[in-house]
Amino acid sequence: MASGAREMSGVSIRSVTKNYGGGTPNAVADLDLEIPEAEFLCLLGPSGCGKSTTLRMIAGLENLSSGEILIDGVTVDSVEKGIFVRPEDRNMGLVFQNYALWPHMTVEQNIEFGLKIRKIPQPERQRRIGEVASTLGIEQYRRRYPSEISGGQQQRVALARMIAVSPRIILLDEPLSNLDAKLRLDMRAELKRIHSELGSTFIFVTHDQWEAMTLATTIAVMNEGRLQQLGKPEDIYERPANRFVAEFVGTLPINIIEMADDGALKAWMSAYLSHLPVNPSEIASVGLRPQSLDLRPAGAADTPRCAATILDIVPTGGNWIVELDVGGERLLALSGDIDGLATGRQVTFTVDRKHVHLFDSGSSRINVV
Amino acid sequence: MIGNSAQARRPASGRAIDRLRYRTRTWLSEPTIVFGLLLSCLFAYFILAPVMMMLVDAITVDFADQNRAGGAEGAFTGYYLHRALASRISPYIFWTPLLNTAIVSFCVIAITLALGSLLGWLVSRTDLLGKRWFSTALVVPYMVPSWTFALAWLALFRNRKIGGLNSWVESLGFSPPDWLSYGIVPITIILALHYLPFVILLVGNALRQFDSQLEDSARSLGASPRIVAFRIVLPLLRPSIISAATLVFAKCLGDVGVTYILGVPVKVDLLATSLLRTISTGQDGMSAVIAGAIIILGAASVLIDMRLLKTAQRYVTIGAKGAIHRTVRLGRWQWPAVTFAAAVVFVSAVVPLFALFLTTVMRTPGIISAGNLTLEFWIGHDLDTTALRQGILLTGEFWVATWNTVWMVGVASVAAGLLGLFVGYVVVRSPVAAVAAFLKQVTFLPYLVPGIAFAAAYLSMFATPHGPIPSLYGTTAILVLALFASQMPFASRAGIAAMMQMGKEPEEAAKIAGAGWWRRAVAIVLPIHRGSLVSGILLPFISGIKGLSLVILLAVPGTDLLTTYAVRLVDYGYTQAANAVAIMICVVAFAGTWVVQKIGRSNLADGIGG
Ligand SMILES: Nc1ncnc2c1ncn2[C@@H]1O[C@H](COP(=O)(O)OP(=O)(O)OP(=O)(O)O)[C@@H](O)[C@H]1O
Ligand SMILES: [Mg+2]
Repeated sequence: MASGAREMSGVSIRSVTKNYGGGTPNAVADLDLEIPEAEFLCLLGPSGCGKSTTLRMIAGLENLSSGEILIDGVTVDSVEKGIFVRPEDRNMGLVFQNYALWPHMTVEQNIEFGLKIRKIPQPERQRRIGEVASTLGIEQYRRRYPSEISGGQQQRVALARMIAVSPRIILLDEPLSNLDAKLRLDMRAELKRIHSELGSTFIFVTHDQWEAMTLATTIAVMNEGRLQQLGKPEDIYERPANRFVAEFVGTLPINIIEMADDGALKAWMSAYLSHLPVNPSEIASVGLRPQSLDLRPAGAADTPRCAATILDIVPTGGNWIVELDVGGERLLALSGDIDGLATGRQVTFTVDRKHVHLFDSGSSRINVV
Repeated sequence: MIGNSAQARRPASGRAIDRLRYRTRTWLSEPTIVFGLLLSCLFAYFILAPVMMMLVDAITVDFADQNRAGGAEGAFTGYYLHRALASRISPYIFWTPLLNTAIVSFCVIAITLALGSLLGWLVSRTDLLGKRWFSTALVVPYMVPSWTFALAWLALFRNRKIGGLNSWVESLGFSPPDWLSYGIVPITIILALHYLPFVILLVGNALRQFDSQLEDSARSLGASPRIVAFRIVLPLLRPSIISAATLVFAKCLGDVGVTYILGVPVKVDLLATSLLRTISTGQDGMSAVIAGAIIILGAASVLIDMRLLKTAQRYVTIGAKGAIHRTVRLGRWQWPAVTFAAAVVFVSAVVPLFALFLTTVMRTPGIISAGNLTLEFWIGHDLDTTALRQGILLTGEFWVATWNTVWMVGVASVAAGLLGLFVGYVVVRSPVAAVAAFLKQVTFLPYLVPGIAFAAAYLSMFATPHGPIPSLYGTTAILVLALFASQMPFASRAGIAAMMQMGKEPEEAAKIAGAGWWRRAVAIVLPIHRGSLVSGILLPFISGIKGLSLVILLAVPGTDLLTTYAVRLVDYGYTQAANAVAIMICVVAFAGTWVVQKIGRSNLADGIGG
């Protein structure tokens, strides 16, 4: 991230802050992101965390309050240097959440518009329109107006319009959120294919972690305008940088054990941690994913294993969510089989040490070496 | 890797000068702001400056009055104020017209509110027979120029006092008394008939949105129907009633045609005709004082209305969701109600239009016999009149006036419609809030200035040369400019509403596609707003065609519009010809209204007061 970054292609976001004014808190605060070329980056975070704002700043649709943005090594925004490159000169693709097709143009004209602006001759335009239309399966709608096709088809048109000009950087703002489950699956595959074919840099905004996990080469988790963690999908899941990421990512809510509390659970956890090479006084809380809890019927409760009572068992199609009680505190576990388990039975559980997430009083991750 | 740890490296941001430089760069990266500034200058010059100039005229010495006012030209003086408000002639020039204006507008408001609320309720909340038909028919008088009613009145009730043709009543052997033929009574009746549709539309619309559950819940608490009417329904209708009343008041203040035809011959003046007289006799300072008074009254009423509306807005949405609109069964009141509505349609639309038309095909009004019927006032040759010796359709001046009307009002409406859209664009998109606010206010200003006063302002600004701009008096330019400026309130409101509705995504998508500002304007923004642009042009076009108050001061015989031509014919005593022109104007206005409703994007009620 030092001086060498200037030659780097892709997108660099440096100390970018955005405030909409009027006494609102920063929508994006001091954001640093290096997005290498051909990356598929997902911006993931809860509603209102500043994902769209970030995307719109990269596109040039929103100005910055401070910081700078570079694209392929060229500064397109810099508050300090007074540089601003207009969105129309940035040569990007952006698919809006509501598609923003032009209602007065047919599907074909929508796709053609960007090509015309790039002064591509008529025969070449027709060839490219035909190509993207067939790739995205919208050939039969070419002469229709956006109001005459379904939401899913509109979404394909929006993608086609963007792909037709083969932009180097492609920005997608929750493009799948209006689609039904089947179409989402199709479009996800489609996006992956387009990414590998075009070799462009993708920046994809979503608040759906599953979408992020399955599509991204890198995920940036944001909260309240701040970057929480940048990493590969498995890193985000297996090594959450802080409690927010640990709690936000994962289909079942992670179990958090507060070390300041009293009780059987904390006592067991303290004993468990004493076997690890960490300073117990630093640890403020511990996170255990339900998937990593290893359940056994009854048996002896020794240090690595903790005794619990089953409160409830909920089938989820192949897996079971088991609700446990440890001295009055509740815990969730996910189990692949329930042989010998039943409501009211005594069980023991433990976790593999590599699945134990430790957080300090600032909620940051403590790594166990 | 973690954003929080990068804080230490934060550059020395927050330097105000850097931020300002960057901001300016982003503003100037597209011409919206430049465009906004240009529009601001344009409207400052064509709207704000004339009104200011005229108000200044009221307190500075005019060249012609240097001796009397006792000062050099342009010096400050209270002479005109004194002369208009506290001198020997002020009763004639100001106080009596003011009193007349007050009496007429008070009566008009009372009549229209009483009849209009009842009719509005009948067509919106009851099972009145032929409800749909009535709701259109009752609005017809609004589409017809107010002064055509005055012509119709004369055709029916004129007496021999002034001379000219017999009226119908006279032909039937009666001699109508003066008070019925001319003056306050007919002026009041005609203005009331003409502005009745405002009240019907506004109250009707409000009642249509009104939730019956509100009445029901009051009833279930034990309130009697009377209490419900006075404590629940009336207070909730208050905003639209007040709106209608102030609108009618502003219109009465500015309406010059009706009084010109029915009041001036017997020396009954309202403020508007008093203004007309001071201007036509070249008393600039005096006319500025009277116009100023009209502006103050007009602006005050509109501002009071807006203030009241603002507080009312908080409860207009009541019952928007899940509202129940129960229709009131009229039962045995059905026939009285139908008769009443039909009578109003008959008196306010059928009789005047029919009387006007028949006058144009009769040699002596009111006598229906084969020998008396003639088409010569339309297509005749060698009539025994002094000047107008052929039917109106064969008269060159008529076609010149028609052509003038169409092209001048057309150019003004197209310009206003387009600029209205651009104003809307700048207001919604301008990165500088001050420019947006200024544009919004300045384009709204003509709405506060009744037509005749606005025309007076145009005269005081453009009748004399200013810098590079020569005197425009007697040119078509001054007419087109005045028409254009007076249409801006409606045009810019329509433009702002349209731009707000579009949202910014379609344009942002075009930016991303690489389209520059002009390309976006031409290929995206304008086409998307084609529909609202069409009605934003047509609605002002229709009201411009029938308008008289604005142009009566500005047109000269060479630049006549249909309306001023008709009034000139009245002046010369060519009654049939004038009526024929009036009918032609109605035809054009009806056709235009029909087109607008076919295009279907706009509601007539939206155009009210525009
Ligand atoms: N034009 C604006 N003016 C003022 N505040 C805004 C504006 N746009 C966004 N915000 C605020 O900035 C913050 C971030 O908004 P943003 O749209 O980037 O969120 P997001 O992460 O995209 O959320 P979502 O998932 O709901 O789309 C929010 O608190 C929002 O209210
Ligand atoms: Mg968003």
